[in-house]
Amino acid sequence: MAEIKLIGMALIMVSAGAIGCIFGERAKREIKILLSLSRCLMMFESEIRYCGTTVNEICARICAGGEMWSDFFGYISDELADNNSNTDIGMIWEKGMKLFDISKGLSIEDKEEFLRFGRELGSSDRESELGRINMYNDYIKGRLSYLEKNINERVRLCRLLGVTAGVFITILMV
Amino acid sequence: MDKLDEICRILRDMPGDLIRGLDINFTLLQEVRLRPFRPLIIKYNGKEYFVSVRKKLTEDINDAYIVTGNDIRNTFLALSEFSTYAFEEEMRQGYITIAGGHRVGIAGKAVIENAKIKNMKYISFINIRVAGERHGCADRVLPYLFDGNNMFHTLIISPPGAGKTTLLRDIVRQVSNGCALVCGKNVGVVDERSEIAACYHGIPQNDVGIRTDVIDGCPKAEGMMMLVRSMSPDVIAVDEIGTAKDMEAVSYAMTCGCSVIATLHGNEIKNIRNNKNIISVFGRYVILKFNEYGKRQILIYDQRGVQMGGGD
Repeated sequence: MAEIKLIGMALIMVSAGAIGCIFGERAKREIKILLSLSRCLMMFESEIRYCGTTVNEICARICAGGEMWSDFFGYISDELADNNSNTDIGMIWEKGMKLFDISKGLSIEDKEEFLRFGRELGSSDRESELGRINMYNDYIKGRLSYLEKNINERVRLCRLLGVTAGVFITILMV
Repeated sequence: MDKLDEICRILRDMPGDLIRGLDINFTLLQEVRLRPFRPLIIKYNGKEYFVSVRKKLTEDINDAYIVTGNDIRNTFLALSEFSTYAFEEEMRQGYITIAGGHRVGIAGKAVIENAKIKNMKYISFINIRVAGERHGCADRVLPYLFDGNNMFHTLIISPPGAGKTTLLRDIVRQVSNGCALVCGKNVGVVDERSEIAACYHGIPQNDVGIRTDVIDGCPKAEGMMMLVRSMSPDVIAVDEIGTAKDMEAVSYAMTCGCSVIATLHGNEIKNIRNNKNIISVFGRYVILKFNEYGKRQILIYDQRGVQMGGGD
């Protein structure tokens, strides 16, 4: 009986620790996602500034580029090219965010900003479009510098909280 | 993609559904007009009709579908491929060319800066003009344009709407492909307003021949210089020349050994003869005009202004 209890306690502590590690990794992944999004925005900026490329074509190029956001932008490109679609870009963007995991890796605030960016994309003249892209990219850079500065503490905290929670549950069970 | 798909691709919501549902021969469709809170109108086989909500053509305005502001907004978004910024220049000019070479005229409120049109906002009027090519319309003109295998520098003159761009396009196609009169030549087209080749995403939507290179949306003078330097064309085709800069580029192309075919707005050879720059450089003048009965006439003149051929 005692052995089973010991095994149970060990399992609880290991699982709680693992959950902490997963949350830590998620924090690291958020940085990677934002970095990839920043690169996509740079592509938007250069394509609009120098070639006046349409949103559909830019999304298709990002999709072909193998970024973390490839599937999402591939979906946007396909939907925009669909001649039977009676939806607008905002609706397509929102649907894409629900469909693809990549945007789920963002915080709630970042998700809102990303959705706002998508809704307004392509609706104005070149200067305003570039201004909006730059503004959003600055926001992402700000988020990235904040996250990168605190990433080690966040990962450590997640792991520690996981282990501590495991220990706490074990004590409660004993 | 057929004509119906090309048009319905940009017509969203109800207008798209109604046009798609019409039981008509779409090769005879000429225009689709959208105006806010006005009936949906199409020009079909030379006649104007309203489109009813029952997907039928009608002449009764009470039966017509009334276009909403949302229909126009969504159609414009689809037309601009959800990328308004990418069509700024076209919007300034008042039209956008879509897949298939169809031209969509737009009108709204012009945004003016320094007495020039900077942009267009509140787009409220859309006119989809269905493209139609006339293969063979240059057959009567071509025999006068060649000296052996060499082509004369040719100027096509006509008032607006008489068909000079259509004629130019067919000459380009036949010279490029080769015909009974001449073997195929490399042709360079400077298509500033996308009227000759009607390029969409860089691909000509009109048949301009197998040996034709197109510079699309480029100012004529710069485009001609670029073509001469980069594509070594035998013939350069350009639409609506007029400025001194255009004539300078035409002269440059001619001195480089290219034959030039150009068009110009005008009515009579005598009006053109007043312009010494023009009369001295071209070897053939093709005048298109309508006679007093409204019938199209083609008149061909040589360098001295002597009529060589033509008629109704």
